[in-house]
Amino acid sequence: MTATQALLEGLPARPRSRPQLPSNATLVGRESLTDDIHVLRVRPDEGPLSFHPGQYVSLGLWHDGAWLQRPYSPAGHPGDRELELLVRHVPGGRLTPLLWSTAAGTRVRIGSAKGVFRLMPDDRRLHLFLATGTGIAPMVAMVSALLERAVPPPLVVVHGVRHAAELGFRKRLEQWRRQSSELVYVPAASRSDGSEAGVHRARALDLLPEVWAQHVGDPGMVVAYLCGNPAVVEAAGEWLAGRGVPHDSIRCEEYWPPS
Amino acid sequence: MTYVIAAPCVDQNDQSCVDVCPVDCITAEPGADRKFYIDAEACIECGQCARVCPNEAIFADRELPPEWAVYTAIDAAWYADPSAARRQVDALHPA
Repeated sequence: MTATQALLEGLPARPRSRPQLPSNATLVGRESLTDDIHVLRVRPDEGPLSFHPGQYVSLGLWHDGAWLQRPYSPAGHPGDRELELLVRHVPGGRLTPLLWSTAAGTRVRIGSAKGVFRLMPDDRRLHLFLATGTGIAPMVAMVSALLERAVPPPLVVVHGVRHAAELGFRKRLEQWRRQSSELVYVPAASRSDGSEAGVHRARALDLLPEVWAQHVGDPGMVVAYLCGNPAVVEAAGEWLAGRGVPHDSIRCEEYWPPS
Repeated sequence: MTYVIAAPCVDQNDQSCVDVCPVDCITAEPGADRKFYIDAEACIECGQCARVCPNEAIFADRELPPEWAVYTAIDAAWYADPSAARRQVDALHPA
């Protein structure tokens, strides 16, 4: 008998079943950005959910006798009556195919807000946000909160997607840009046909040097928030570190392949 | 697949993993446990816990260092019989 086998002796093999919690929210609507990307609106039973902009909550559907859950970052304001969740359909995934066939009115479960991807209080440095795909959601919540400050810091939002239709919350960001001189919004679609006015035909990562030169410049006066595809987040973080941005000023949230 | 909390967690009492787990599948009983335990049935394998653990104690089970392989069973066992899991932790880490 090996040492490991000896240690395993006497350990129960079958986990006991976890108690199942009740539903606590309702799916009240959805907006289709594309066939594969929807904004789901979920109304918690007990009023606005407490969260810090940037955090995520789990969204659960009851399936086969258990809650099938995945985390999503609310894009809205913490005081909103409904949560806005930007969801990409993952073919072959477990939750999202079910979500795509779930009608408004379906009962769901929302978990408490989690995560450390949050704004720092009273941070007056330039805030550089770089997101890919649905990674824009937590940043929309963050930008909303920052614009509410008495003196918002300078804000630069770079959002990269494949097709322009996937630019979630584009209208909201463009509206904020018109209303606030502090906000620069840089939408980019790598597979754009060039017909979308104001949308760069590029990858978000490839726009970093230009954005840096035009809007940043001083590595000591910027805090970067990066969210989305892990490879892009890592590459953008390395690029910024290479420009002298301190590591503790580069805050990352990697979106693992959701299903 | 699941994530597993291995030896570097023992007696550390850091709760960063609990604070980020979106599905609340990391648990311990205060005052009774010397480490945290991941419920493999509930884990959705997002890896947030591993990214934030300051003790580098959390691994995907297929990436668990061989010397800590037993912690896969220990974590699972806690959700059936916590005292059995605690005995194994004590055996591995005599006070």
